Amino acid sequence: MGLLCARLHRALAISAVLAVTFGLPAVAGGTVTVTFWHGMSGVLNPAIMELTNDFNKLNPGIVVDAQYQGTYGTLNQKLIAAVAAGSPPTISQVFPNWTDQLIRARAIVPMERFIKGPDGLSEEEVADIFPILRQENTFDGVMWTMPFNKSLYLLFYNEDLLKQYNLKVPETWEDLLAASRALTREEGGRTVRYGFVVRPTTDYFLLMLITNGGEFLRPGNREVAFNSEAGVEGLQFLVDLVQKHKVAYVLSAFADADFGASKVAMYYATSPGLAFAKAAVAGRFTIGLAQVPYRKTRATLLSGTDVAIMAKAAPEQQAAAWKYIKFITGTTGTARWFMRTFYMPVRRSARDSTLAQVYLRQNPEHRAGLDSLATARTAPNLAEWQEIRDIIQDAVEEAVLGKKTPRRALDDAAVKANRLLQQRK
Amino acid sequence: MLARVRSRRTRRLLDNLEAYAFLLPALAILAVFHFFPIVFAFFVSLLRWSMIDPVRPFVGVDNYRLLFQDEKFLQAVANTTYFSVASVGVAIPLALFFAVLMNRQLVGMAWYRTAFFVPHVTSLAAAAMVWHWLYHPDQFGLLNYLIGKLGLPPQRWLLDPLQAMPAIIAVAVWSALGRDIVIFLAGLQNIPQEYYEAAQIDGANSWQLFRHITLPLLSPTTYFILLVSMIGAFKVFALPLFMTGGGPLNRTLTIVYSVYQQGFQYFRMGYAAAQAYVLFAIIFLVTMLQRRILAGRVHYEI
Repeated sequence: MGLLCARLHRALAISAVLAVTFGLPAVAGGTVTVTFWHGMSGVLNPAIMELTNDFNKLNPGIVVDAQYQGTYGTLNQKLIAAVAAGSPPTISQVFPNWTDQLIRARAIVPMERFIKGPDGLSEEEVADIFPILRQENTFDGVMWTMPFNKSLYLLFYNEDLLKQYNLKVPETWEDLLAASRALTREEGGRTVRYGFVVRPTTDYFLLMLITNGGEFLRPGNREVAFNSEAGVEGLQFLVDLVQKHKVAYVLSAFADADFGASKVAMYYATSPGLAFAKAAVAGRFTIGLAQVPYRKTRATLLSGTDVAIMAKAAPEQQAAAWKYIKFITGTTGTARWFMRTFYMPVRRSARDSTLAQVYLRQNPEHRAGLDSLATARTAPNLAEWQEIRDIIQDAVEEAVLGKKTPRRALDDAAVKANRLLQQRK
Repeated sequence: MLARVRSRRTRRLLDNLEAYAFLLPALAILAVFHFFPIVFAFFVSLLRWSMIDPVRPFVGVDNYRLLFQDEKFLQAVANTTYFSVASVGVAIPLALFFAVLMNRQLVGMAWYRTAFFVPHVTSLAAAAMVWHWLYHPDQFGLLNYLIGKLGLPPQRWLLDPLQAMPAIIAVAVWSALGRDIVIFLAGLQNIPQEYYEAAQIDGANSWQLFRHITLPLLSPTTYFILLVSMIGAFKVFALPLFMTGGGPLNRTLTIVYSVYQQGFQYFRMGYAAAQAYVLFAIIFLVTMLQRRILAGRVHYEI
């Protein structure tokens, strides 16, 4: 009898595992299982686990299983492969350009269906989400995804050094150049500290483009606009910092290690990069944060992912998933997420909440992030943008390494990017 | 009569059933992971398909036509050719040199042979990470530290458009050397000792022994290594993936890397499959060319 019982238990356990694996009967004993694929590593992982555990405690009958899948690149590959194989998770983090592709493949369901559903959001609650984020998550007039972890670019600087040299925090490009000049230090013919660092990435260039009044695309989304005068000037400015003024150097890796070692005084990074900067600096000096310096328009680049509900999930899973999304992107959820990770709150009410205000008093350097939100811009939410980013990156590398002039590099990149956009159905 | 023929045939089939059963696992694996993908990839190469989009228009040879106007792909072909010719060109003479040195009875020879073979059995991904660190562009990099001792300025290695590919080739040679040496050693030990003795009696010096006996009688081995190494070199992927990500300026972008990028980063499966077929054509041509030119020069005896 005992043996039989043990066997029965084992068989049940195995079938439960199989059921979870194949996602077939998602409802077993009244419990709905929701899998959530994300790419939040390091200090971000505990933050996501904390929110998820709280949700699970508050919602008996629903078990959300937040699973780390690797970097965003890996997450993208796994998600597409899982969709192709017909066994996607219930929820996934997605970049806007993935969303575009997933919509075309009919792999996700519009968030709007749930927002307007019986368990939905009021009009005020929708309007509470920052307009730029709503717009980024909207495709052909329908809100398909929900903004979740949105970061934005800031100027990171060594506050002690700026004080020591009596410099004010750079507001404009000219200030940035002047400060870089003052902070660059030579010893015995070798530069031991640079004022600024240029990472030859798409984002460094895009920041220069938008703070100089430039646009990503021409109206109609069939042609790029980054090779405008604004773009050329922006790239030229980066190249000049390195080659003409010699107050910046080129670095492919993340800059926080060099920043911590005081080899560079200022750099651009996204808001959650603060945790990595703090780890690298280890209390040796104060880290300052400011809005990205501008020439014509104050702006910064908003990045990070949204969450999508997959079409393949069972209706009760989708309903449970929506409940979870409402929880993590609600006023309290997003405010807590902001305080733990320095991703931006996605709602005005969260930004203005007592919780966030008290936190800001204790961590005043975070204010620059919230101030930047008002001027933040997002890159186009087109599937092709994924490849266009790499095309721009090649152009930035070519210019920074002196292989092409900024104008030539950007014009060449524009030709390639336009070819992709024109293939778009 | 007919019935008897049929029964004989049936009996033969039954007799061989066991053999077929043993073949089945291998056949099934080959069919699922090789034959089917080969055929399917060709079909995909005629489509425009994102892998998940239910709409997959048939575009015929469009993908192939695009390839030959795609600077990035053409650069990948040039890079791969550069890599293959240089890495194989350096590895084979070097391996021959070490194999000849090691083809003698000396104390500790087994230890030397093992030392040379270890890189080959090391996972390429792990080795690439270690080399990535050795090539660190600052004075922290071990290589820069060493050349600093010689009074040379630190180099950018993997970040320098001109140095990146040679740096990767060096790792490929380091990794392939052990395998080539082992095969050469086997070849060397197959050469009958009598030839050397006869030549020595005739007064041949050691260079003449090497040039007129070792080299020609080793030619089947050399030919084999050349073919296999070339095919392997054209398929290079792991080293650029882990060491440079194809950069800087796409100088280390190889064909397989490009296939990966198109297929699994931009999800343009049709275009990626077309590139894979072009790679197949290139390897096929190169192998045929080697057969044409070299097969006649392979000696099996003097």
